[in-house]
Amino acid sequence: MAGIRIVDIDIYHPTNRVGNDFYIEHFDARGVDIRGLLKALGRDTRYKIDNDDENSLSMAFEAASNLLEKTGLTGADIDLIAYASQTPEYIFPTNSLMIHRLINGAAHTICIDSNANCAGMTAAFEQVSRQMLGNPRIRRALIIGSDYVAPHASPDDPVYFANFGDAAAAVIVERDEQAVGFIDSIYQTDTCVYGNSLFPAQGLAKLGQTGVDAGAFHVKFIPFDDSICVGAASESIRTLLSRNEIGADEIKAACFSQLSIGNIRAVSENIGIGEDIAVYIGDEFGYTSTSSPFIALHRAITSGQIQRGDKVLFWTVGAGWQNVAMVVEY
Amino acid sequence: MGSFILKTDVPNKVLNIELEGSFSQEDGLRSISAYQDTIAPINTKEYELNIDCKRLNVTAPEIVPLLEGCLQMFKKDEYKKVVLTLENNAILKMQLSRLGRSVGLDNLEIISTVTT
Repeated sequence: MAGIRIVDIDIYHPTNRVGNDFYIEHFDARGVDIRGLLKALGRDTRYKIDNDDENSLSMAFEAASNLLEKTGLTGADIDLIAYASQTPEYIFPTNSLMIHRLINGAAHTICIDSNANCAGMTAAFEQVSRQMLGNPRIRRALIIGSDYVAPHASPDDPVYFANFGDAAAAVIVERDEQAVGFIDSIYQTDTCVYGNSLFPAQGLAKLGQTGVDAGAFHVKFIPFDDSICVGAASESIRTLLSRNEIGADEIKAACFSQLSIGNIRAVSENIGIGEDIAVYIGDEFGYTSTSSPFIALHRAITSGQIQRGDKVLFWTVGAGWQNVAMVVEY
Repeated sequence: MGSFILKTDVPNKVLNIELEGSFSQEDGLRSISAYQDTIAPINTKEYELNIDCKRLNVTAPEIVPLLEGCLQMFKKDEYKKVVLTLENNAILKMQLSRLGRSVGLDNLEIISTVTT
């Protein structure tokens, strides 16, 4: 039976790196001390777009181009382009179609955008892998995750304004008769906080009718304890591993949501994974949302933490919330 | 068919190029030949190059390799600055920005005009 294996991965981030001090001063001036929040989430620096030319699509193009150059592949080699973003630069046409044009894709290539918020790229990887298992005509897929949340973060909202970083990740997967690759996945959905992160807060229909003032197009965020997903995530990951007869000690890298170092440690401990296995890049990159588990994967590969044949566990969570976990053989 | 106008502004040391229409391979070669003739008497290191692509048909993906070749040529000619103006086309701007970086044309400025 064929497997869907990772060919390679690459990333892109802007050059401008911003430390915590900028945000601490910003919120100190508003009478809000965010030092505890930044420490609890594990922030130190993040890369930020500081010009008018870059956005989620341009970052996606850069990550995809880096990857194609690295692998020696071209747009013509790609049978499916999946683009995951909660901040797509365009609603239509699809951003995957824009990428298709940018990389000079083939006429038969499938172009799909998807959005599962911060869980988006992981969900896209999982959905594409399953689609490829069922459709042998798709030999190779380019999966991209890119978010540019900053323009939609209220300067009065510490969570959205001070924690997110800008970056994109691109991965190519390939159908391979000899490989294991994608093994299994699990979803766990609980809508208890479905209204806590709304964007656009008024809904698209109203925005289309009434327009929006500059600076008012922000996420409406009602703070809540983000660790509420940890217990359910741990349980679903245990189910995922046990039904595939994979022991925690077989996992060589855990590429988790980089929102919170506390959540990463808690889930790791609950499922019996050591701190050295859970990759943490949220101190350098900030929280890059949809791409964050894959930027962690990129780090695990480039640092030598994982080798071909090693098992990698992914877990992330999308607003609302939805836990998504999967296990793959690299 | 593509057309091009080359104008050398000697007092201000600016070479202006206007590109218009759809460029075939032959159009491209003709324009490059005319460009070489135009720059022969000037020292391009002292000049700024302004290229107006607002009326250039950039819908064909084939235009990109042609433009990449031009960017390599401009890099070799060592202009003080290269300014490329496009009619609002974010996609082409992304492509050219990356191409400019890949050929090492660090002084490339791309302006994507917005018409309402």
